[in-house]
Amino acid sequence: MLKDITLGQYFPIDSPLHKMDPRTKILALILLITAIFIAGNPAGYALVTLFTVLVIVLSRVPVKLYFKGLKPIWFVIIFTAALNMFLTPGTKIQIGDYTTPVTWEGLLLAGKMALRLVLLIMASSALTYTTSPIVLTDGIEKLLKPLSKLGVPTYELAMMMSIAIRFIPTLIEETDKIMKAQKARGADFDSGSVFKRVKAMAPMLVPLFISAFRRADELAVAMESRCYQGGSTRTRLNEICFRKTDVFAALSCLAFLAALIIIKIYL
Amino acid sequence: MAIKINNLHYIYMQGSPFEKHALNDINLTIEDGEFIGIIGHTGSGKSTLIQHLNGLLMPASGSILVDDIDITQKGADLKKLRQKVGLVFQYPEHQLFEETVYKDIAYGPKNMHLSTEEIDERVKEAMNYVGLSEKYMNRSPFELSGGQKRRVAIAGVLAMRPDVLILDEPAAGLDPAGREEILTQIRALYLARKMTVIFVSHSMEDVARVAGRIIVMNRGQVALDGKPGEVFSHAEELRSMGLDVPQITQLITLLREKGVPIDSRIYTIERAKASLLMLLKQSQNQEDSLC
Amino acid sequence: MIKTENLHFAYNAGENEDIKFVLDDVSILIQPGEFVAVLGHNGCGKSTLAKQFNGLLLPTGGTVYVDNMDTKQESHYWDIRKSVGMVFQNPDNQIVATVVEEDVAFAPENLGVPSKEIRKRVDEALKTVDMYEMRHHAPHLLSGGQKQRVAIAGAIAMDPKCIVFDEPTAMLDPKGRKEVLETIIKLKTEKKMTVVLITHYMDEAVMADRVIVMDKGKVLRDDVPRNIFSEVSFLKGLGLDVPQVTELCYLLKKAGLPINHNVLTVEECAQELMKLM
Repeated sequence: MLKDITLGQYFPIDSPLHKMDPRTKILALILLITAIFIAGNPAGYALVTLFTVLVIVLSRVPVKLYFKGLKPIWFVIIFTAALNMFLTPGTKIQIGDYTTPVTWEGLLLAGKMALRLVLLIMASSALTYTTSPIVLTDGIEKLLKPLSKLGVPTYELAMMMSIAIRFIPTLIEETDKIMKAQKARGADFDSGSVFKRVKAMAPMLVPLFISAFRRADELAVAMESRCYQGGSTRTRLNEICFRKTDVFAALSCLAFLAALIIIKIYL
Repeated sequence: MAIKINNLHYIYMQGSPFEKHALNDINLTIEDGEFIGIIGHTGSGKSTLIQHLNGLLMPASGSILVDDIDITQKGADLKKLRQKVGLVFQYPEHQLFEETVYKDIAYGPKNMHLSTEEIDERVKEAMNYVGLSEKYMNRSPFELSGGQKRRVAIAGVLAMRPDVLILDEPAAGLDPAGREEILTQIRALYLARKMTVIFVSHSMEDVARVAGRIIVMNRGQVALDGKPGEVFSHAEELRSMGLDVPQITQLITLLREKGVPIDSRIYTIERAKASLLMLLKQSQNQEDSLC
Repeated sequence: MIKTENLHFAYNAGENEDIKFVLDDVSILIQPGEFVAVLGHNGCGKSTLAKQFNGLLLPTGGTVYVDNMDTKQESHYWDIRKSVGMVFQNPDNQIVATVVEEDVAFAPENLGVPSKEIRKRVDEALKTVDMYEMRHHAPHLLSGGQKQRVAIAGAIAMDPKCIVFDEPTAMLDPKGRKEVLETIIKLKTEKKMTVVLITHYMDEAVMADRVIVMDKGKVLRDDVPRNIFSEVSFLKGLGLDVPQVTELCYLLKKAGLPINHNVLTVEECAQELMKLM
């Protein structure tokens, strides 16, 4: 059933990347994404690729999984690459006597775009594979903390996020069950016109919403029984904290950025 | 409506790291008009098995013949099958969605594209079977009590007039009076409609009360299959599968260990009472004759 | 530990309609370290009573004292919550976190307990319910019985004096029920906790020190299990069950046999029968 899909793809092993503070990892990811977009020339791309490969190696997560993560977007990659190849103006490629509709410039641009997308996904996967959803929300909450001074309820937002993550598998399972039950009563979810199909969803959506509200109600009572009183005074089982690895990682990230800028200017 | 299951295998999430052989070589014949209880603990494969019977799940291999038609073949008319084999899921009240009880029960028949009169007749008939009076027809199902909601949901399946009715834990979460009521109604329904009933439960005592044949599932296989008395006489085996035997069966086993000559197939209070009274009368007579 | 005096409660109190009392003049006393079962059919008010024990609901009339604190006094709010842990029926709807140990830590985190102390409490609570080995698992992949034990650990980690169980086994299979019941017994015998078990299963109530039978918001009986279950026709009239062996002995007695129907277990019943053989 669907419920067995791992949550947020977290891969629970021990690695230098797993041990890092989520805040470092989030900031490093933002930096890497920026780098991917500012890298302009082949040397820059080489450096960015090298850095991503290094991160993947350090995560100790099987490389196979990173490629699996690309699966859902292969289509997007190929589609954009194709668009670029055919639609970029420039010198058309000649094979013998035949002039292909593909341009050299287009081919180059397509390659760049594909590389960017692949690196982007892989870098983000490195974060989600090495950070559990709870730690991740914790990190986001801490990073957004300055906003709470402006009246943004950062703690409550983080709590909402982690509860949402917690209930995704439960609701998926529930959807599966309701769908089967309505099919047993002759429901048809997969044929007919769009309008008909949307209408056919009601027998599934109504019970799903009712159940979600019931769960929310019960969860609220359970949380209240366990002394939930908002964010201000909460402590944590695993406080996140900066370690030497984080300092080292931060410094290497800065060095990497500097190198990239130098390459961009002088090469 | 006979059902014949041959060499049925089902592999759950095939090709993923969670792969599990959920059903392993199931062979069963269910005759027309039987009242069958399927027991087994969570994960024994009982729910997986019943979902095959109306085509909600498709086997990895093997065949299922319903009325001599193999429903696992491509092109089998699953919609028609689901009208013949009605399945009531666990906590069925969680699938109610319409504004009124009437409309909710009519959902199944409507999907069968019946005439308004026919639908009306079936809804009323189904409500009657589950003991809901017509005054509930225009009420919202969400205002009813838990037990009433469940009966509306069961009526929703009955309104399709299935030949086979499968119920997955119909008494789950109800109190003793509610359980008793549902069990009695299912039994009455079985007698009135002469349908085949398959009743899935993990309560031995409930199954013992209503079923004429019990199938015990364990680790995706059929572990035991027979009349209740025969099945319960395997008390040790049942307990090793994480199942409880009725207290009366435990008592009989204990008495037999102590040398009391009592039939090991007794599992109901009534029969235990009758047998014990007979036994005690005999032993009293013996004592009298000795004096 | 918990005392109610003439407790009345209505959900619609304050409205002008006819007030319908869900709890009607309930006066009970639960001693520290006691294991009390509250038995009654669905809708008899037993779950409403449970919610009075930690201040989730407040009395419409009468008083509830938890550890000598009046639940109506706002200053005691958190102390009362902390003293009485609750475990509910649906295991899915009381687990907050995506990792077992994070969930158990939820209550102490809310109470602002320092990290080191939380770690200690979490580990201990998980060991008590025998789930320590699975502390890094995702709750949604556990069995019903395991989830419910995580919920119990979550309550224990709050370090309460009493735990109220509101039909904790209603949604579990026999194996899960056994796991949860064994854990409850362990809390009483090893941890010396006060336990209140709300249930409609008589085989669970049999294990308690005392059974309170409720119907229509009123307390009808308050006695040791042996005396309660000997009233076979009274319980059946309330839509409740008695153990099969108790019923058998009761029927045999009615048929004229000189048998004691004050039995609760299979062994006791066999012994009684052997006396006659």
